Amino acid sequence: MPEPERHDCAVAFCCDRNYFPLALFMIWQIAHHNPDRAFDFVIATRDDLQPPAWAAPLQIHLHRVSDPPEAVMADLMKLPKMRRFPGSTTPLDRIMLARELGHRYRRILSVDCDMFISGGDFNRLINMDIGAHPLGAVLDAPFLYEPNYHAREYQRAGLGAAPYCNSGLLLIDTAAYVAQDVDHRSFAVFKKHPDAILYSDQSITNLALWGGFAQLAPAWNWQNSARLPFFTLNYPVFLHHFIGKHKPDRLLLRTLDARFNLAYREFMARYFPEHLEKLALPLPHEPLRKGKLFSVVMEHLLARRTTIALLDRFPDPYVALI
Amino acid sequence: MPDPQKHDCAVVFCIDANFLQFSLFMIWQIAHLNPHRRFDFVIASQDDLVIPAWAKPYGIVLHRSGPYPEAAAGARFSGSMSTLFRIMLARELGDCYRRIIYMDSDMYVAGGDLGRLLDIDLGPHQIGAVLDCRYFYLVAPHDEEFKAAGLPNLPYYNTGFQIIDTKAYRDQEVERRAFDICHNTKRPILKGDQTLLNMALKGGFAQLAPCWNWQQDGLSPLLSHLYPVFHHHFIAARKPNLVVSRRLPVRFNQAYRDFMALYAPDMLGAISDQPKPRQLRLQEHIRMVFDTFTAGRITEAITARFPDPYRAIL
Repeated sequence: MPEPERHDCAVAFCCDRNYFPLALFMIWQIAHHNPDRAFDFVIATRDDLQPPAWAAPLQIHLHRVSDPPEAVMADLMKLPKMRRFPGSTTPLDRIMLARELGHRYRRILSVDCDMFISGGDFNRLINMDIGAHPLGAVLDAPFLYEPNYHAREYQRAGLGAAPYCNSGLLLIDTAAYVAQDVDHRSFAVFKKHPDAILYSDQSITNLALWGGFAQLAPAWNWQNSARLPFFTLNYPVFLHHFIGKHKPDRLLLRTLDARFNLAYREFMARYFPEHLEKLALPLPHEPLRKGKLFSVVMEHLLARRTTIALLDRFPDPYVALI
Repeated sequence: MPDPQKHDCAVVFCIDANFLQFSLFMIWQIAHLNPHRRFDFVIASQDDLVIPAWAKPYGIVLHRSGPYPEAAAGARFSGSMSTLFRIMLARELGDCYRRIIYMDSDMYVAGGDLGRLLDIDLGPHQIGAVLDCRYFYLVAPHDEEFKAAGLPNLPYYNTGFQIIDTKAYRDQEVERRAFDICHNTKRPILKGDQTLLNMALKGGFAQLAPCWNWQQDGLSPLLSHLYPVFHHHFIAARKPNLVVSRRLPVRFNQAYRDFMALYAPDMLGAISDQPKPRQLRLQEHIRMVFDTFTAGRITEAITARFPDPYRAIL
């Protein structure tokens, strides 16, 4: 079979077989919104995955990820927070993408599988100017509601407050990433600040970069769909990221819009019917109750100034702060 | 079977040239969400429309709508007569299609299996449709035109989304009965085709679940928070391309912008600007909370009657 045509940029998902259907859900959405895409889809995995026939036109490239270096694995096993790595090193895989795929791709957009795509021009996103930084990313959720947020990892490592990104979406410049040794510096964190590693690769990457990344507009990795659901009435979001354990396929928070669970259900019914029963059941069709509504409104009112101050810095979602 | 017809059911849009891109936007969404569709797309118009190259794979059937009765001129709605074309669809297309889903072009498609919906039981009815928006914030509203015509408080539907059983529609002469209203009433026809069809059917339609034609986004966006909606219908002037509204979720405007940027860049200038991102004010929060406790309860009572969106109330 001839090698499918390849672009010099890619949207990549690091996943195991459990997340494979959700990675395909994401690809299915991105392809729809980007009919003229100039990037490949890559699924980086250690499992033997086979894209289904319906996904053949999407020409997904499967990339076999190498294991992290042995010394890293040994350090990883020593971490008291091993429960954060439940039998899988998948979250660490994205740290190695630039070195493993840099010869093929000058830019890689690494995206988590627990997201929902509303729109956005991914060609423009992938080619955004991120200055000399090895990557561009969106600030972590608390920056939208906590003024002067000082990430706990930085506090534990004795580092001052600095930008701290959510690693669910990383725009990686592969040459800069490799040249600046970000992977090795990230793995060195296991030795340097083992007590500060709270969230797998996200902690490691942030501790390595300590704020040294281009900041993308929050629209590209919106992590507040459940906490600040009303805010998106006025702020157009491209990628909704279901952070924490409250996801449309698992636990359903009453503040998480029903449309996300609906989209999962319809996709699985069509393409992975055997996964349907694993999805959380929709909540009863009733309005938010008094107590919940009151607490959500209070969250919004308290967050108001911080959120606006942050979003004001991104008048154009296609321009990063560098 | 005439080319390019392929199926015995169709999803049909009745438009003039101004709405072509919006109906293509919906077709683009429906095709994505219904990859195994067993229905055609038809665009009915009296204008000379050209389907752009990118949309050719959808096999869209262009249908030239015939003339409407002269007396129907009084049913002009929002400056357009194209809203009346839907009344004639069963006659004009009934030989090709046993069932038709008619959709307005000011909608956003979020989900729903239209193939499955096309085959639901409509009982003795010619049409399946969703109750009009007022039912979702008033208890059992009595339509003004029904009242003025001396009709009792009967179910009144929004004609933006209808399943039409073409044979039953023709057998029961719904078209003639609808246009007869134009001759028989001295009162102004306030809502165009919606007035004519409701006056003709007098509550005789199968009621579909509100998720198929959700009309509340512009006023009470929170009402669909826990109710999965398939089709968002931007009724009246509260359309994402026209207004900058604080309450109509901006994602609809963004979806229009993204689509037009891809396929109809000339139209971008006609899409309203987005509001500057900002949090709602205290009074806007209070209004939303108030809506939830008033309209929310009324809406909940209606949605509770439709535990399965693929089952109509007959």
